[in-house]
Amino acid sequence: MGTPAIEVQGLTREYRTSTGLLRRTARVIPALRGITLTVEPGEIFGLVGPNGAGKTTLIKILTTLLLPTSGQARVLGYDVVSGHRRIRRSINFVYGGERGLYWRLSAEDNLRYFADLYQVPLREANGRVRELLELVGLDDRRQERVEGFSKGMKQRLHLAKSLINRPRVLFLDEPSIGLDPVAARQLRVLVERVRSESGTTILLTSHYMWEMETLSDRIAVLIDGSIRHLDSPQGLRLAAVGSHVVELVLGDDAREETLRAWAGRFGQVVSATASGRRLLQVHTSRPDELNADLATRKLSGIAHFATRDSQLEDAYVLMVEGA
Amino acid sequence: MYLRPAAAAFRVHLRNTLARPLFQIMLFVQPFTMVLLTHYVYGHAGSGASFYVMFGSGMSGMWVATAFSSAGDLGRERGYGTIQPVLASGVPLWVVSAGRACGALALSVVPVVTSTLASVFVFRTPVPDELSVVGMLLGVAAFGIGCHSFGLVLGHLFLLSRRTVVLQNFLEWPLIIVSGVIVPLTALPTGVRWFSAVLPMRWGTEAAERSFSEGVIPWPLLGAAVGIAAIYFAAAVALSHAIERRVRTTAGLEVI
Repeated sequence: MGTPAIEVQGLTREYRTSTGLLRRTARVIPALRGITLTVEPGEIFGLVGPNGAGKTTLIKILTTLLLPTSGQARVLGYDVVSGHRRIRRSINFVYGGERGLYWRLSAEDNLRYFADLYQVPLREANGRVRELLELVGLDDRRQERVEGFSKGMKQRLHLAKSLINRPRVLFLDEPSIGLDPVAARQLRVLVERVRSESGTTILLTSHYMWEMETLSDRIAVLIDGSIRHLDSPQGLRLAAVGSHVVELVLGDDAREETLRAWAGRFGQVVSATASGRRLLQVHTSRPDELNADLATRKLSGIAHFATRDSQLEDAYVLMVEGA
Repeated sequence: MYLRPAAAAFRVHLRNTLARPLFQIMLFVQPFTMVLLTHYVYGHAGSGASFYVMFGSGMSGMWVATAFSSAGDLGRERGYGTIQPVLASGVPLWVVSAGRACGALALSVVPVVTSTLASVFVFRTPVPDELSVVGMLLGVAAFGIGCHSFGLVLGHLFLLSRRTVVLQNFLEWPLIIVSGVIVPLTALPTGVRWFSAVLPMRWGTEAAERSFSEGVIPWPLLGAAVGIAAIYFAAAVALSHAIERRVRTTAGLEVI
């Protein structure tokens, strides 16, 4: 088996901060608490977790912009502390948001600048810039200043910039943040294309669970600086929720406790509200049995019900709320 | 090896800076204002003070454009969020900042030329007969090289902590005065002359002033300016490596 694209063992990172004006009090904030994971070459690895869970810190360590406090992290076999110069040549990243581009320069000039910094061979550089602008659909706007671009266009330019050095590992930290659904879909198509055409390993974070479910081969759930769950999207979904979610919309006369006790025979029951109505969500892998039982019993208080496939978001909410 | 990234940083600095209206004013308008001021301050002092009218304005503009523009530029890069991708490209920080500072230096020739032309043709500043043009040019160039190296050190120091940025405006004019560009070095209090001696710009100024008033090429002064500038440049390179490690520890490159 070859060298893993990313190998992390017992990684910790603390931030030191201080408060107070005259009497300053130092505080140590742990951001990562012993992360261990391996990402194989060509894999799209997802990282999800609530804000402040440590996702960006982990990515910044792996992109060599931050040093770990302890533990080891290797990218393409090189240590992030001592081999950062070698790593930098072979990776690239996109951090969500509009920053990170020269707004007063054109899209083409931005890419050309980074082509020069990465020392893309001169005979290739112009072609590479054109090819990437075409890939992200900005070839007809290449000479316009970035300041006039929409958020989606800037994000696509970010992606183009991140591909300028043909990275072997690409880090995408919330690349679709703030994008409209069409722009977000275009970005997902691009990410898939990058992996399928060049075999690039991608480490991706996002708060959009359907996006993570669509793109990722495996997903780690990071909560409070620790990886609490790590599996394929389907594995996470099945383990936490089951294959289906049956949603029972309760009427005004519903006796919730009775219904909970009945539904609990088929799986985990979660109370919720939707559009001002009480709801019981049954996480189950036996939806047919539940529906059959519901049909034979005369249970009062259920206004209507629906069965759907479980989603990563259902699993994620359970994992985070239960943490 | 790093010529190409440095040249790219040079080009980006030119394009970025020329697109900023504030900098356009600093380059093309401010020199006239400065010449006007120095003309009224030194206008009646005879040809002995002509240097400060003709070149003081331009050289102070050069100082602002090179040292402070390139130092502030690194801070702006942090604000734009571009410094992280630049750093992550694998090119040492000093290469990019040196390239950008060269861009700033090239632009800073504009205030020197405009203020000199304004003082000669608009204000009819008297020029000494024995003036050495070559010595003057070398002196101004040495001053510019000093601004470049000193600005690199400042820029890297400003990256260390967000708090150091407040020093930027505080230091601007005191350093211009201590460099002897606007006020003759002999007019400086003895206590601050030792400080001006460690600034490469001061030696460039003195070289230019001697060429202007005595018509000589003062090689020792030029050598001192370039030698001290080289020490600052070496310090900036060492500092950039130390800073890179420090900001990786403190997360000091986050967008502000």
